[in-house]
Amino acid sequence: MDPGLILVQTFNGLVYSSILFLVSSGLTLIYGIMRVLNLAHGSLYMVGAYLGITVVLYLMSGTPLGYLLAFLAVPPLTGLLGAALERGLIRRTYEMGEEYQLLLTFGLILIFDDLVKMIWGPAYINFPDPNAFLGGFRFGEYKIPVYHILLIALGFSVFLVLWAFFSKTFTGKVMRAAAQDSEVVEAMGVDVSKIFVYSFFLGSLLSGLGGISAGPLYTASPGMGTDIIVYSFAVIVIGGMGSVPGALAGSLIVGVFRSLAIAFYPQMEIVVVFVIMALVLLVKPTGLFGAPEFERR
Amino acid sequence: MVTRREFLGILGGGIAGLVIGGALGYNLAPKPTPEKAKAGKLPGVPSEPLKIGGMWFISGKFGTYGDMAKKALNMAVEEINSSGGILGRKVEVTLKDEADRENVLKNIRKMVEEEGAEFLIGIDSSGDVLKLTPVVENELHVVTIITHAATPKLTACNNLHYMFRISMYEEPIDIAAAKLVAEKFKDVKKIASIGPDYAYGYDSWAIFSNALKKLLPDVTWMEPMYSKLGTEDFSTYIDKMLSYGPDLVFSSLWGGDAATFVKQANSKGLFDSIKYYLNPMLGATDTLKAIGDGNVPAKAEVWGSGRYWFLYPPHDVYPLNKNFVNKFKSKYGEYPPYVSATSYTAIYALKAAIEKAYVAKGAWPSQDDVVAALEGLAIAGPMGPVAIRNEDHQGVYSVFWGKLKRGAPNYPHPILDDLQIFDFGEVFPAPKQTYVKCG
Repeated sequence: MDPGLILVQTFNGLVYSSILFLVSSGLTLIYGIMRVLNLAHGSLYMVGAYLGITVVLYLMSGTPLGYLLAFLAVPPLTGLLGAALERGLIRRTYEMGEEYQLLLTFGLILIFDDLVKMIWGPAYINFPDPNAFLGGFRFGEYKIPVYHILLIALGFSVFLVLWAFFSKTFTGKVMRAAAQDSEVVEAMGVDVSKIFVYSFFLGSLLSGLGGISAGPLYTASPGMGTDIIVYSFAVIVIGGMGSVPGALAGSLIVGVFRSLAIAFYPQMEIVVVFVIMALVLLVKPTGLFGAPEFERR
Repeated sequence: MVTRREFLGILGGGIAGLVIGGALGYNLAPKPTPEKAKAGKLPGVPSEPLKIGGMWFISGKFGTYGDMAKKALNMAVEEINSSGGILGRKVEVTLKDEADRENVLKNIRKMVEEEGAEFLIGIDSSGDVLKLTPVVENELHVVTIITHAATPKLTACNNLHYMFRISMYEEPIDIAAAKLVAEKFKDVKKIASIGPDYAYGYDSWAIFSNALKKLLPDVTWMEPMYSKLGTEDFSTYIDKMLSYGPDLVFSSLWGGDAATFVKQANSKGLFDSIKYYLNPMLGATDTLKAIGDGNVPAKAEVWGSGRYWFLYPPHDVYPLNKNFVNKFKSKYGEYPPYVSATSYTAIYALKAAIEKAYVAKGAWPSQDDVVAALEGLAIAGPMGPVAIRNEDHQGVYSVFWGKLKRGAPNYPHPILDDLQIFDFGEVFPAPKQTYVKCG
């Protein structure tokens, strides 16, 4: 096998890992702190991509400034949307049990898909390619687009920021504490319901950031959140549900193995991810990082 | 098989005499004829409206097809009804959603058996069309005109009686691709390919490679690659192609996949290292819109084809297409996609056949009369003259391939330019023949 090809394919995997990490870190965070499995998490990714399209293509007609604006404006917007969902709907299910949460968040997927169709139309929409102004580097017969490099950097930076947030800031520490035992935290005078809104805001912001990051690479279409959410679940099961470092490890594993599978054993593309997941579950049912950061109650 | 001469004969001399106020006439000059507008005037014609059942993907990921069909049907039905309907019968089209996957056959039966549909049109998916064939042929016995599903198997591997396909299918386009390469890109040495991972992708590859191997035997071929429908990231496939170093890439990806691939291949430098890129499904306005002017490659030549291209036949020599395009554009604000053109033509083909059969019989025709009238019928559609072959019930018309070019400032999306036209005689296999294995 051509070592150059293995290298580029690993690189391709890392790009996907990076997007997976943005989405799955949000998913695992919400689960870790609140024990809510938000199926509609992928919908916020989709909304992120569509809001991105609106800013980049429709408002700024594909200019570099449009991209900058979109990256700054879209994630907070999806964050607010997520917080509103928590306040308005999901909060009502906390006393009702998980099946109601699953039903509600599944319903939200359908609603978001239809809303996107109503607002942006049913056809797929393409971002103008950011590499048109960013360019790329030659690597033998291959080309490494600058946008891809930036995405990998973004993924790792977000991990570092999250790590710093949870270990250095007061709010981060309180969120971790709430994840371990929300009743005790509440007894100590912390408004836990606020912590829940914060987590949804942060988790949804990350999903939206994933959407605006992935949008320029892929094509925005209604239902685009489905694939990513399936892989994100695999990621957080592999990494350990509720663990941000676990989400990073899971994303790296899933992204790279999937890419190498497509390159060398195309039939294995989907299988490989779930074989790894099954193996991890057999050996360490709590996932690789077994939630050291967010203990289960 | 209809030869070109026979076909032109029918079109030229025959059409005016055969088809009373046929499609051509109505299209070009939709003047209302007041005598016919009163229902029940013609002897032997029922007075109730004529119901046609249609099925396309209306909701879900492929819902744009139903949308395209609906727009064209509205146009056709409005035109026909405002000039007296079909022999005085008003036309009503009812639609069912092909995206209701479990109930495709059930809904088709329902339209015919409960809702009184006398004819059927539509069907997007090749899988559905093959499942539908025995139901229509053996149970329902209603004339059904397929407007999209493109598997060669439908007309090549079945003995159709009630079913017809008016739309272009895969095989002539892929054969034309091979001819295009052999005629224009003779310097090609290495070919790589990618297609969607289901029957269509494999069939398309089989047709193109087998046809081209006969014309350019010395080309070397990379193992074909297949990606699942809705693949978001083609980087892995693109780098694999680059490692092979092809000078031509054949891609049968369609819809969003086709657009995504072009964009990603552009940023990953594929178009800097290959010379030609051919995609038989690229010439669809929805795909071109999704590609966008900004993603048209600067270096390699990108060629596309399709079932209908709104700028062909050229508007200055073929006013029917011009009128269709202008009317569609002013009504819906976009250029008509291919499903619109084929659906529109299907309604007019039914109309022409019913009228032709009525003239012969003097009474409202039976299903078999309409079948007989459709066989060998020549009809002028937006895509040019279409002849329906007796032997296999396949509509034949010429195939285009064109080079991708930025559409601005005249068009909102990239367009196909430098059109190469392949007469149907050179690219349609003889009836019942195909490179694809039946069964």
